[in-house]
Amino acid sequence: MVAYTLRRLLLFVPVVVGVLLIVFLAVRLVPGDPARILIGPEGTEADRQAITRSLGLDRPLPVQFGIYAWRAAHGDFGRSIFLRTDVRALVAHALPATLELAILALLFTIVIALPLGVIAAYRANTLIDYSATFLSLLGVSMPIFWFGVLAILLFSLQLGWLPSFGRGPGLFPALASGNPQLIWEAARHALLPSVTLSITSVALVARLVRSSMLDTLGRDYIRTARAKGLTEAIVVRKHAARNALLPVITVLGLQFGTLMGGAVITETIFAWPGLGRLVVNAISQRDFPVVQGTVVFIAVAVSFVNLLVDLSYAFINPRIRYS
Amino acid sequence: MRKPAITTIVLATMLFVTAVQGQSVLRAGLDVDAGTMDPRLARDTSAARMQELVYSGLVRLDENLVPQPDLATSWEFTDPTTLVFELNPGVTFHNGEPLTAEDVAYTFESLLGEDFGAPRRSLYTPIESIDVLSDTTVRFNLAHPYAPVLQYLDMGIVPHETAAELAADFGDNPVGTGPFQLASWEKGSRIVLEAFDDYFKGRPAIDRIEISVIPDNNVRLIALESGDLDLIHSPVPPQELARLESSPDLVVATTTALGYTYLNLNLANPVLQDVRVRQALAHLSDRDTISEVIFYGMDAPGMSFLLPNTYYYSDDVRSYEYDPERAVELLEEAGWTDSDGDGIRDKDGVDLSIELTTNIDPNRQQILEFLQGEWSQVGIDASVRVYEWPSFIGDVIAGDYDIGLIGWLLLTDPDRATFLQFYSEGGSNYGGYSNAVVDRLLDEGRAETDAEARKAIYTEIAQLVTEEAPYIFLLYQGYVVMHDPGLDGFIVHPGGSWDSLESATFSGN
Repeated sequence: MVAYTLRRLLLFVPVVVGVLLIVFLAVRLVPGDPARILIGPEGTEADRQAITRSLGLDRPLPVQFGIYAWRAAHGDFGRSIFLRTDVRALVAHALPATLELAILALLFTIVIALPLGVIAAYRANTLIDYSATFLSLLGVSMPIFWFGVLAILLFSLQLGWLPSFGRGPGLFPALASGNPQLIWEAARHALLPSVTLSITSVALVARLVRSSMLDTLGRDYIRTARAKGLTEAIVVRKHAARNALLPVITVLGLQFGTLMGGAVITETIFAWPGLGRLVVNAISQRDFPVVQGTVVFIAVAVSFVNLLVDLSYAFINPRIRYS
Repeated sequence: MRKPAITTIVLATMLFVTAVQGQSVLRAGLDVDAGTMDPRLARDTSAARMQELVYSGLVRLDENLVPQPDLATSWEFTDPTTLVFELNPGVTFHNGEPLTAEDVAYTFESLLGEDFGAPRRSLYTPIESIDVLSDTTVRFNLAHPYAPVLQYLDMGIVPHETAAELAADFGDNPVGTGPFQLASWEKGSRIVLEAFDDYFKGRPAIDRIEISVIPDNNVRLIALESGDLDLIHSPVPPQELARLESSPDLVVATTTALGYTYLNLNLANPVLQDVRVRQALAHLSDRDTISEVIFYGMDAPGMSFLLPNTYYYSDDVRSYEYDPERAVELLEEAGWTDSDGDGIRDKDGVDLSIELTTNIDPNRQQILEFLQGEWSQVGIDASVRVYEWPSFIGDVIAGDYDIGLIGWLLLTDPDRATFLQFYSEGGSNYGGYSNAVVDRLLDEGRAETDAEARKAIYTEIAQLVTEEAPYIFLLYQGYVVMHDPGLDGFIVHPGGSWDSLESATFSGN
């Protein structure tokens, strides 16, 4: 197991290098010039070229990559072309915000989708099942954008219960301070965005749990367990659920990765200062260092989460062993 | 709780202290973060707002775009190329240093540096040199008479020692002479400014301004309506305007902005080289409908680069009436007929095909789709492509487009609206328009210092440009401000300026 883990960790290196290279090239080969955006429409061609030179973008690509990779290996991911802030600082600042949303969304997913899926499977083809299926379909089809704005309209404007934008003091800092007022404020700010973000996840995972449970419940060993006279509760909880959960855990892990880097729409609507918004703004301005640094970071984070997911199989199903 | 009495006392004290402090805090919302707080490098509208609050310029443009004294108490042209300013002697920067002519000279000299990267450098290149005559007297020596110079001298003045020392970091650590100073800046989300006690015009009544960056227009509006914000301005969703204007809980003020939206025609395209085709397209562009239906009247129909409510506006410039019949006449005259009966006009075996492009923006996309529908009806094979800004503007600059829908903003002077755009091979002349008469007039307009004569020159240029239609002007952009009624003394400015916050009062939350 340890050997396996170490091997997987070593694999991070080629992953990072590969991602770095691909992102580095992709963002430069796509049309669009950061120097032109920086200099604005009243900038002359000479001004634009001066900026290009100062950014080092006039050098041949291999040279640019070499310099970048060398510095990155030493932990220096450069400075944002537009914000002029250190890329690492930008990511470090945006990360807790995105983590908060992703973790909360994941929690909602687990708390809502798991029971929902299990019940839908257990009471398959009844009204409960149909309702759950309908809600799932709604969740997957509904545009996050639309739902988010509607939620703000209802809860902030009409009811006045929740703030309309922003992260407030932030859940992590609030929890760290222990101040109940701060925690309450942070929670109020985090509620709508994390619920909005979790909708697609909940819908997806509920469906998956349902089908996985249905599949498991139809297995021979479940019939055997029932035949042995075990109570339904034990059959479902101890025997069925554990096995049904395996594919679900994979999906949850993948979902977390998606949530980490893909909460763009939610972050934009709620003015939530996270990674998704950071990287999309950077892409739309061709802020090369920020795009590169953020994507590499997300790649590492997702790889790490996948590793944890893989390792967790060994705990859930004792027959699985790594070598 | 074990000791409720103590908790109550503590809470009560906190409330009392806050009440005694009675800070006047204005919460504003912007659509984008300021790219920098260095006024010399300011490139976006939010950075311009920050410049107005954190810095002062030699002059400031009032709501009629007339330069008013700001740091300068007076100025004089001693000859057509020499401009001398007398500075207010009692001004200090936020760090306590006194303002001197040295700072003024440094600000402009650094901004003119070729490697400095100032986006508006081209506006200042006629300044040949700057002389410091005394602590409070500074002289600008121009290479040639340059009429718009005063319009551009509202540039925020930076302290020469601090700015030179901090270099690229100055943008994150601004020091100015303005009414507010930077207290904190969470990049991408929040800027907090605090009143500057020693502001030379007197400490502002507003103690703090908290600016939140909220990208979505609808959410920003909801935030204002729900009381989470006190002040927002354009961009706002145009369809909400009517409802909000009649709301008793908000003050809504509109004015024409310093910008217009237009179709940029690529004259390198053989189809568009015939002026009759361009004029036909102008006759096919129903500005009134676009203004009323897509923009709910927020942006007005536009016909030239002379902006309404500015000194240079003129009714003498021709307007292309929406006239599809006239358009068809012009197209037929130009030889574009449907000779093969496929519904699309052609000439010499080539179809009349035009691609309309713009950046991703729901309103702009609607404009193009509307035009596509209209133009198709008279036999033009019009297609629409909407894609992201950097690629789009890159294509336009490279001349790789047919007709692009774009806009110009911050047009504080007609020279700014025309010189780079219409001069043969001008830096922003993407479509390749070239007219020797216009070139001559543009040079004259730049140098002519008599206001009336200048206005006549630009009217003539506008008439020529509109006649030849390298641009099809569509809309004069509107500017909307909405705020809590507790904000008193805020003056709506066509450039979007927040200058008036220095003396406004706010009694809200």
